[in-house]
Amino acid sequence: MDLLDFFAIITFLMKPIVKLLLEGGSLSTAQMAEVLNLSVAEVEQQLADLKAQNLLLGFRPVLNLTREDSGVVRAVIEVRITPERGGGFNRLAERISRFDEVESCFLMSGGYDLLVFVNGASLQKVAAFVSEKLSTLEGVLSTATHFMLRSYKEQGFLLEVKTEEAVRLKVAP
Amino acid sequence: MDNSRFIAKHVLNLPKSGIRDFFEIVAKMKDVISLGIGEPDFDTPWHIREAGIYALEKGKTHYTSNLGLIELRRAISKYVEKNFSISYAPENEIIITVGVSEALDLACRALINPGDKVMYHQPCYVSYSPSITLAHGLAVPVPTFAKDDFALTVEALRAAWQPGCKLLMLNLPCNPTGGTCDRAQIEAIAKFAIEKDLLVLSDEIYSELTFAGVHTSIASLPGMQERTIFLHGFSKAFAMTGWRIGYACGPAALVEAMMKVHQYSMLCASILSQEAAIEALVRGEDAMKAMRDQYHRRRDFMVRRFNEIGLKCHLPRGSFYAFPEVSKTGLSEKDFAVGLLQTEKVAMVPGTAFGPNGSGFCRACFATSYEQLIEAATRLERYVAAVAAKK
Repeated sequence: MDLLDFFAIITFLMKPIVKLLLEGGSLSTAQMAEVLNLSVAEVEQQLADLKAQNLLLGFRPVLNLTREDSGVVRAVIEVRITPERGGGFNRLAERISRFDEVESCFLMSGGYDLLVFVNGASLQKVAAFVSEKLSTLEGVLSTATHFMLRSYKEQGFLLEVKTEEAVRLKVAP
Repeated sequence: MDNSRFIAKHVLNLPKSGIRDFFEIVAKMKDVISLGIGEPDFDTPWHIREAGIYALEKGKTHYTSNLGLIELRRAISKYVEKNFSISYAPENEIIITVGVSEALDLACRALINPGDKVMYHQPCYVSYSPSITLAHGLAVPVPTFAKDDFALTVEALRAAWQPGCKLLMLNLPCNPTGGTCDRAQIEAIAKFAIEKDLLVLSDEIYSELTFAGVHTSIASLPGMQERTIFLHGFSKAFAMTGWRIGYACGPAALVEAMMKVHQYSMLCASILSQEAAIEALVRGEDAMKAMRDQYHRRRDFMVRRFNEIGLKCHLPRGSFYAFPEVSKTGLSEKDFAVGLLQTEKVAMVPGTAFGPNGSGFCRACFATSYEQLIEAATRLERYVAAVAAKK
């Protein structure tokens, strides 16, 4: 990352609208407009600009997938691959990322190359994805699949810990 | 039997806090959006809480030295030097107290002879005048005004000064007004203090929450460290109100005098809070700055809305309080606050709870969520319009 990119990222996170997205929880566009003293159209434009610049990728709900009735099995897979002349790890990583089962995919330092987060409807389906799709790709040397048993924190939300709403006095000096 | 004859006269005559009256009304109501809470809405950052838990697990359940843990005093010494440019010796110029409130009380009891006069600016925190009275001093209020953005001016000090004044209490940035002084104003106050040979008690609990300009501590000015007791704590900057932990720094002889009162009354501050406070100072800066940033944005929103609604409000330069003027509605601050609470279920504290000079104003604390602030502003707008329509 060169210095210019670094400053671009700093400014991006410093943007009032981004700060509000991060700290405001689920404020509506109209509420954000009110806080920032902008029109709704201006807020929408800023969000559109962030999307156009590939800085804001989108919004998704954070669901509690640990519940039995969620019907989702999740795994992380450590994948070792052969880098290619000219393309390095990118071509294969992008190819793996395109599978619907793949939730996230990262290039890692250390003992393996890619860390792949996978979702499936059942243990068998995830296993089938690994054995039939992932490990059979040319360039994939090995996989190590770890199924998630329980989640304690999901993208900033605590799950198992009961967080009670702190009781504040209604009026205090 | 009337037991009141057993109560000491100066306690009997002490007026009940105006906040308490208001609290009684609010406490009985449900679904109130309260802008009346003088504390952060954030819980203490987890790493600080975790340090407290760890201390408990390690069996740190004993008394500490009267002055407080030396490790904490060393951390405070470094922190104050770095952020306020004042250098205090951890061994004998720093004392750990149960919140700044205790530090203030200790200073009053250690320094005031019966009849000594103590200047303080008002509107101000509710305990200033009572702390002076409880130490048998005479409170000499110095007004601050909306036209000065509630900064304390040397002209007001000069006008209020009278022979026999010994101490000057400062709280900058100020609860309830959010007013503070710039460097030039602080320098003028320092000059005045030297001229009148005043000892300054400087409560700088909101200093980290300064949004505009750089906070200047009066103790950092030439000739002032020797005549200032610097009071600070963890409640506001690190969201640690319930831990009750603060400190005082000053000349060794004065700290020693305060320590005498402390050792025979409180003995020491809770060791768990002291351990957590070390963590706050050593690793808490990022979390503190993130909270300050949020207060800043909430302030900008809330103050803008007050002005749009027609409640003139100066831009508070520090703290998490806005102090809008409500008298233009034709209502007194108390009627305004009670009416707002009863019709729209929004709580703001009448300015007179903070001294007579708060007349015509209400205090609104913006340390609450955006959703609540947006909704409170909508309700306020409706209320002000309804009051205007009735006129």
